[in-house]
Amino acid sequence: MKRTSPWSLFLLSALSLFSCGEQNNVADLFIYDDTDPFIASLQKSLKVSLLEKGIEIEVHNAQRKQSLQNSQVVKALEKNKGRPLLVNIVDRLSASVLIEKAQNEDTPLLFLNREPLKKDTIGNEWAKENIYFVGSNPAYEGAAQSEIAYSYFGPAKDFKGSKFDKNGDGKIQVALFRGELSHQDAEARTKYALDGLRSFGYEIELSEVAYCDWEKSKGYDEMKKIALQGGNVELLLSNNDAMALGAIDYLKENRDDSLPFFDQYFPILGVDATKEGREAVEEGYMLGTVLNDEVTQAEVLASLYQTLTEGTPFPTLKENVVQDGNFYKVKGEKIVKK
Amino acid sequence: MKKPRSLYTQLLAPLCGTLLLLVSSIMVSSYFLYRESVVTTSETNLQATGEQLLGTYDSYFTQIFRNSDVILSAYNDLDDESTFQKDITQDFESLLALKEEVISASMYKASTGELIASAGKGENVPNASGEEWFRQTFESDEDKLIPVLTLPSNTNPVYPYSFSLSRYVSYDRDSTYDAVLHLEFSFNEIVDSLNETALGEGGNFVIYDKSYRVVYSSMPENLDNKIDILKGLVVGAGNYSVAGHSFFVFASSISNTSWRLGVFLNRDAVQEAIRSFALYVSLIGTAALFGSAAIVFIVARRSAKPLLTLSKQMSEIVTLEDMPSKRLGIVGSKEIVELDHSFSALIKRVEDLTKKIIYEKEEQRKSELLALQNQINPHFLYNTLDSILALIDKNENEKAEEMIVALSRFFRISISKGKNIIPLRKEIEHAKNYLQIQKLRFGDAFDYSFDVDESILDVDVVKLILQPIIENSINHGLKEGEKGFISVKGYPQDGFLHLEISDDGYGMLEETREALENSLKDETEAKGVGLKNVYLRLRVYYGPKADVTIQSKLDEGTTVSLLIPWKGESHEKN
Repeated sequence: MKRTSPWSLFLLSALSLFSCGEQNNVADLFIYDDTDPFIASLQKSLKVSLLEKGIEIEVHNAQRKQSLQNSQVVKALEKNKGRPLLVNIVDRLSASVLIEKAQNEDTPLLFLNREPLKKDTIGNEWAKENIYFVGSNPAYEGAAQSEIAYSYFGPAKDFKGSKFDKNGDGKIQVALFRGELSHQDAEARTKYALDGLRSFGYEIELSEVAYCDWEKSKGYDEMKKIALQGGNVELLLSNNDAMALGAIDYLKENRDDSLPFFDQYFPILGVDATKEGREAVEEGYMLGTVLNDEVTQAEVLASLYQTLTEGTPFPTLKENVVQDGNFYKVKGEKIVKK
Repeated sequence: MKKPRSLYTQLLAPLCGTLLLLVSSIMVSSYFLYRESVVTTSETNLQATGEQLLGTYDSYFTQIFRNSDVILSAYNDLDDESTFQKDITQDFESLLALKEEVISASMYKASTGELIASAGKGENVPNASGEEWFRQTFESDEDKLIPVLTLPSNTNPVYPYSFSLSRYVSYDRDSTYDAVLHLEFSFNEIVDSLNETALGEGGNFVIYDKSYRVVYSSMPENLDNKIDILKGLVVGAGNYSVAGHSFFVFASSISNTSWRLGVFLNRDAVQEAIRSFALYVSLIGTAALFGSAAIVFIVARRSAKPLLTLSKQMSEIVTLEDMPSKRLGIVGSKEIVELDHSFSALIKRVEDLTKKIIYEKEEQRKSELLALQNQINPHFLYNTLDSILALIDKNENEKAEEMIVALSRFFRISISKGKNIIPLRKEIEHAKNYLQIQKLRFGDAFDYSFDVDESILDVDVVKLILQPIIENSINHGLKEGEKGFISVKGYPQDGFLHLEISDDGYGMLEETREALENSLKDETEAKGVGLKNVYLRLRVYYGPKADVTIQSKLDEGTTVSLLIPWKGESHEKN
C-alpha cells in the first residue's frame, strides 16, 4: 500500500490535470426546471449542437428557485471566470443582478428561452458585447394560435349560432392557461393570440384565466376546477403544450366516444410542439400547436458560444431567425393534424 | 568529534521533542478541523436563514402581484363603462380591508392619466400623466407586462418605509380603456408581519433596488457601509466586517421584482466559538505537554539515576588503593544491577591480576639478582683460583694454564656484556668450560659428553641455564669413589627445545623427586636454589609453556630436562 501511494498520487494529479484540461471544453448550462418538457428537449438539442463543436455541457438545475440559480451561477463565475454561461433564468427580473455580477467578473452570459428585460441589457457598453438572448418568437406563436383557431371556426360573421358558439351569445368564451406571471413568452403569446382573434373580427370573453406555471399537473388541476364550477369555455388557449395536455388528461376521463372530442368539449391550442403535443394533435385531442424550434435555437446558441470562446466567425442566420441587437428570436411553424 | 551528550539529554530531548510534535500537531489539526466544520455548518445555517427570509419576501411579493392580478381580471370583467368607478372602488375597498399593508389604491386611464377610481389614506393626484411610475408602465410592450415597483419621491412621515406598485391594465374589450393601477404599500406593516424569521442577534436586512437605493432597512445603522458591501457582492454570499462585527452577508434578487435583498447575519458567535476553542485547545495542549514532559522527566531521572551513581562512583576510583574498599551496591533496573555486578567482578579481577603481576615482578627481580650473583659466583672463583694455585705449586703449569683459559672463557660468557640472551652455542661452551674446570679441580672424578643437534646451536636462549643444573649434578649426583658421567643433550621436538642434563649417580626416591618438582612450581616457596632460579627465569622469559621436568631412578641417576618453546629455525628475540 505504502509503496504504491506515490504512484497513485502521481496518477491522481495526472488525472486531475487531464480533467482540468478537459474542463475548458465544458459549457455550464443553467436551466430553470428540468421537468419542463420543452426545456428537456432544448437541453438535448443544445447538447447535440455543442458536441458537434467539441463542447460538452454541464447542467445545473435550479428547480424553479432563483436563489438556488443565483448561487449556482456565482459558483461557476468564481470557478471559471471569463467562460460564457448559458442561462435559462428562473425569474427574468433577476437578470439584472446576474448581469451586474457577470460584468464584475467580465464573463459573457447567453440567456435562453426566458428573456431578460431589454432595459437591463441596453445602455451598457459591456452588455452590448457580452449579453445575448436566444429564444422563440412569442408574438408569432400567439398569432399562429389565432390563425389555427380562425381556420377551425371560420369567418367571424358566421360564428354566432354555429356549433362552436355553445351558449349562442356570438362571443368566444376563452379560457387562458398562462405560464408564469411576467414571463415574456406567457404574456406575449397570450397578447398576440387574443389580438389575432380580435383582428379576425371575433368578439372574445376571457371566461377563465389560470396561471399554471408551464406545468402539466397544474393544467389538469385547473381544468378540473373549471369543469366542477361549470365554466363556460369555447376555446382553450394554453401558453404551452404541457398545460394543454394536463387539461386533455382531465377531459379524457369523461369522454363520450359518440361525439368528436372538440364537439364534446372545445378546441384546445398549445405551443412548443413537444413529442407528446404532436401525438395529441395527431390523435385529435389538440386542435393545433406551434413549433417552438429548439433545434434552431440550440444551433444559434452553440454558434454564439463558440464565437465567444474561440472567436470563430458567426455563421449566417437561417431565414426563421430574427435578430434584434443581441436578441435572436426563432420563428416556429403551425402544427395541425394532417 | 562532538562532545557526547549526557544520558539525561539523550533520554529527554527526543521524548520531549516527540511529545511537542505530537501535541502541537493534534492541537493544530483539531483547530483547523473544528474551524472548518464550524464555518461550514454555520455558513450552511446562515445561508439557510438568509434563503428563508428571501423565500418569505419572494412569496410576499408574488402575493402582492396576485392581488393586483385580481384587480386586473376584475377590470376586464366589467362591461359597463358608467359603473367603472363604483365597481373598482368596491374592489379597492375589499382589498384594503383584507390587506392592512395597502395604504391606498388608485386607477388612472392610460391614455389621459385621468383618475378613474381611488380608495385609502394616500394622497392621490387627480391626473397621473406627469408621474414617473405612470409612464414606466407602458414605455415599451415589454413594460406593460411587468409590475413597476417604485419608491416614494418624498419620505412619508407616517410611513417612513413605503413603496408603490404600478401596473398597466389592458382592457381586452377596448384598448382605449386600458388603465394603470397604482397601489401604495407600507413596508413597516409588512416587516412587522413577516419578521418572525430569526436573524439572530444583530441580524438585519436591507431591501434595495438595482441602483442600490434603499427600499427598506431593518436596522438603519451603518447603512452606507452595508450598501458598499452589497455593491461589491452583487449576488451570492460572503463574510464581511461591519462596525467591528463579523457578518455573513447574503445577497439575492427578490423573485418577480427587480428589487434585491441583502441579509446581514452576525457571525461573531462563530468567531467567538473558534477563538475560545483555540484557547481551550492551547490551554489543554500546553497542560498536557507540561504534564507529560514532567512524567518523562521523572522516568528519565529514575532510569538514569543509578547509572549516574555508577558513573560517579567509577570516576572516584582512580588509584589501586581505592578499589578494595568500593562496594557499589547500586539499586536500579535489572541491567543496572547486572552492570554493578560485572563492575565488581571486574574490580576483583583487576585486583587479582595486579597482585599476581606484583608477585611475578618481585620474583623476576629476585631471580635476576640471583643470576647476577651467579655470573660472578665468588665461591666458585675462589675455589678455582685455589686449584690453580695448587696446580702451580705442583708445577703442573700446563694444567694451570688450561684452567685459567677455561675460567677466563667461563666468565666472559657469564657476563656477555650484560646481555641476558645468548646463542645456545655460547651457552653450551659456557657449560663445557665449567665442566672442564670442575674436572680439573676434582681430578678426573667424572667424565662428560655433549650431544647437541647442530640445527639448534644458533638459537638464542636465556643465559646461565645449564651451569646451575650441572653444578647440582656434580655436587649431588656423583657417587662417592666412582667415576661419574655427565651428559648434556640438546634437540628440537614438538615445538620445544629440549635440553637434558643427566648424571649416573645415586638418583632419588619418587617422593623426593616429586617434592622437588613441586617445590619448583610452588609460587609461595621462595627457596632460591639454582634449579628453581632456572625454572623461574624460563617462565619469565618464555611464559607458562616453558617447563622443567625431573626424571630419576634410585641408584641409576637423574635427568633434568629444560623445555623451551621454539617455533622454528630462528628463535624470536626478546
